[in-house]
Amino acid sequence: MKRISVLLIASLAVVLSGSSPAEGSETLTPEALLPLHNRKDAYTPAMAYGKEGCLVVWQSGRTGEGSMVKSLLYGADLVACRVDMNGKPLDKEPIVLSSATDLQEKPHLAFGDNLFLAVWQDLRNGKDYDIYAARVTPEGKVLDKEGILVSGLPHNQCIPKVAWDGKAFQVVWQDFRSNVSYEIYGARVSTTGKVLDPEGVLLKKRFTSRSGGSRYSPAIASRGEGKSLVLWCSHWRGGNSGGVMVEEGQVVDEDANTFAGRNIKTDGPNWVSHPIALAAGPDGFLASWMSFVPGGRGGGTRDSNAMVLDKSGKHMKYLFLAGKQHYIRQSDVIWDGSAYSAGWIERIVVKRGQAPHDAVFLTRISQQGEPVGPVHAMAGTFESPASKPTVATDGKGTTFIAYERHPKTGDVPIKIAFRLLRAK
Amino acid sequence: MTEGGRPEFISYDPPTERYHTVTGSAGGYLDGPFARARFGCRGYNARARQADSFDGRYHFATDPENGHLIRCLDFEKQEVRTLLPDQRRSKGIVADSKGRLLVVLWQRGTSQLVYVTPDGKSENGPALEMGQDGWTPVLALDEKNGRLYGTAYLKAPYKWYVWYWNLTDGSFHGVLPSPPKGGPRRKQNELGPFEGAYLYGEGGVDFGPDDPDKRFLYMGRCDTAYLFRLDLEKKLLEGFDAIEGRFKSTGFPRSTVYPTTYYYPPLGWMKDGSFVGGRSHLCYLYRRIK
Repeated sequence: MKRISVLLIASLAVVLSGSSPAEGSETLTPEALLPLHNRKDAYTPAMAYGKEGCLVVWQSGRTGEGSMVKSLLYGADLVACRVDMNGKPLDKEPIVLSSATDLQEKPHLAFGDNLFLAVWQDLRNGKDYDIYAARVTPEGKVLDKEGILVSGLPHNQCIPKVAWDGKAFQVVWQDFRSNVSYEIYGARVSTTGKVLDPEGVLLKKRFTSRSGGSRYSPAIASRGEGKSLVLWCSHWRGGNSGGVMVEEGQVVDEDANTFAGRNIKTDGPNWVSHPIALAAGPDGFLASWMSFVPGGRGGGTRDSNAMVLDKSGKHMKYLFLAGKQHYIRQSDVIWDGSAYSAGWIERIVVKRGQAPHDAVFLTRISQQGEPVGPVHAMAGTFESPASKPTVATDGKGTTFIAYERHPKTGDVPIKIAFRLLRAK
Repeated sequence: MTEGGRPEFISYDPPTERYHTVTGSAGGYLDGPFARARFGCRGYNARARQADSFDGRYHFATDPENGHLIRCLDFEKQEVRTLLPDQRRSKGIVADSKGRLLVVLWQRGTSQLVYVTPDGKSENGPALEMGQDGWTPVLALDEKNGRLYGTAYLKAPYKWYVWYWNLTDGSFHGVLPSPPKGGPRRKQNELGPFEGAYLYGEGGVDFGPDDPDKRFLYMGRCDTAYLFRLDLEKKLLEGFDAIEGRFKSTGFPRSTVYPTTYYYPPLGWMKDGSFVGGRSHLCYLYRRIK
């Protein structure tokens, strides 16, 4: 109960401190909704900035139609929509990235060399997840309609993330090819759509223990020159979170994870912190992670939910995204040209006996990890929650944030909503 | 229903080992299609109780963060609705073969049994005699003998790890006694007669699908990770020995064959007598244990 009270107080404090639509030198555009694909609910958006706007990709649908009494029915496609610099959707109908059979889920997106690369986990084989990718032009043309198979070995390859490293797209994912535990693998994809590391490169092997010691939910960010920092979370008996520096697809600094905190110190990301979000800035990186886990043993970190790292990936400072203690989930971060922009959700308690609802927040943080602007309460009420935020930027002070907007009534589908934060 | 703050229901299909989100996304409360229904979370301090209808059409779950309301998942219509929307007390649930959900509204003093159908119609059963006090019982139903078995996280002092209510008159009957403080007892988890059994923490109970006489009541215990079985005829506490591959009634169970760390019985029985257990990140399939 003590923890719930703390959460309530912290959450209200953030709501009161943030204001919308404008505060200080930051302005916010009104919320816009992206079109649905075949009236199917929209889930888990991902986003990247291209030339003069963003591409937002999301999962369309989740279950198949009909009775699920005798067998479960699943079906989801990946679709996308372009948004211009004014926050206006450019596509009346979403662009279909993949409509293969079964499920296409958990998309992620990067832009480089005048191309977007979308990556996702795919169940078209009906047995286990594989990693697929597709290139999309800034004009919205899908170049790989069947998808590029990045990794399709036995057992799951899933939860991919991608970054443009200045030379190629570096894709990372969690991989169960060992049939024992998840490990972190990566592969590069060229702008011509070729998988440069077809077998995948082991970036971090599992922790050898009787209980497995999996590595989960990798995050990646690049400062260019073919280098990327990759972070992940570990199984609780396999240590805490860690990271490596990757260059040209290979691990070059296995000890980049000097930040790794210990659960008992509750200072850094621990085994329940995944997913981690990661962004590259001019002098280093910003990482944030889930810090809200329902009470009891093994909860999330209480003393921070983000950290600043230097160019080599060494930990510099722990911090709270909101500048004071608060619990977060589903964070995403980006460098907007003069500061990091961070979006996340908190669980807001309105009244006792009623479940907390998800609400989306956005703020900006300096390279040194200090608050730059106010915390903006972007969206989310008990009647119409908002969740799964994703951020992108033009690198000139404009942050794009997209999120799931949940309906007030059950006859209205979940849509992807969209706002812009402009910082002067 | 997942733990760790994800307000979602996950399905697991043992033949393919696939698991997916069936319903739930953002936290909150909304009835309606699977695609957009919203739930609260369960967690370490918020026990959810779950039950399946006899015909497999419905899955019922209490929603602790929404006042323990009963959420009914209809797999025929892919739709969620709330049963007994005015009852926000902690409750245990179990389904019977007539398509009804038995709900135990558990609170100090006398408790109440309520029968509710998936369309929301309810009817009171007998008041239940309370032999002891606790939180959110786990229930197992023996329709042949008219008994409703229960176990719970109990307020000390208490006398019974496991008990049953007579479904006709609501009377309370102890089954597996808890040794009195300072009284004679065996070592923790040591198998043998009901008398003298000493167990850790709270538990969960369930009957298996291949036991029409309801002789064996399966039981998991919080943090222990052993699978126990109560032989109700011989009044023996048995435990599974994964090394010998059988239940035994002396010594100690061996190997953590039962993976849930908290308080649940097997998460789901399969038609061949296998059951599925689970924990935070993975689900495991366990083959039939004779």
